[in-house]
Amino acid sequence: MNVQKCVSDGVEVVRRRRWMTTRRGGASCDHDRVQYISLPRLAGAVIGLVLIASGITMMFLGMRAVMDIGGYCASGGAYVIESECPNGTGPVVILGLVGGLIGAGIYKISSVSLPGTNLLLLAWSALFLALGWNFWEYGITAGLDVGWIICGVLFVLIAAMPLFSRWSPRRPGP
Amino acid sequence: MNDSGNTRLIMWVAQLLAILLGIYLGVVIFTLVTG
Repeated sequence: MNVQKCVSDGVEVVRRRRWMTTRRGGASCDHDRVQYISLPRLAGAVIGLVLIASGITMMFLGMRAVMDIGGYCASGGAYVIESECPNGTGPVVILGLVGGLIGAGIYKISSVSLPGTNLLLLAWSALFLALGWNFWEYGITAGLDVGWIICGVLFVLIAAMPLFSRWSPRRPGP
Repeated sequence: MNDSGNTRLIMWVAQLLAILLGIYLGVVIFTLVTG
């Protein structure tokens, strides 16, 4: 059986051995605190982060492209459109959103047993700070636009939500 | 790779490079799609 036993605070802990990790013997659970970098998990975390970062970048750039023409647009349909969406903006924003979510899932699964800092919740802040930046920039530079500044304030508040969570960026470790 | 003082550094470097690569790819894909 691929099972390990150790003693933590007088309680025997039985756990399934993790793939690609080794344990240095001994009966203390402290040995489980020794952390290893599993290459497949590292590769998964890297792929997940690449997808998250590219997704946020595409949404950021897509949003700017729409804000450049006034902040709203439409494509297709039977009616005459006043503001036609820039070519490919809709697909690229959807691609960024879906890709970012898939990347978050891959990163979440892959980074469980990796040492160091878990950046997943920071992706939330990165997304809303990036999009909020657009609201602030276009709300201030293109004449004072109170509506966009209010959106900017809201996005910064949403981005700050992880600060109020019980989440700790440091994974349990030595 | 087993645990050493370098594991966290390896993680930081790998994650930083992944983020930079992601931003680069995001710009490239956006440019290609919106042309």
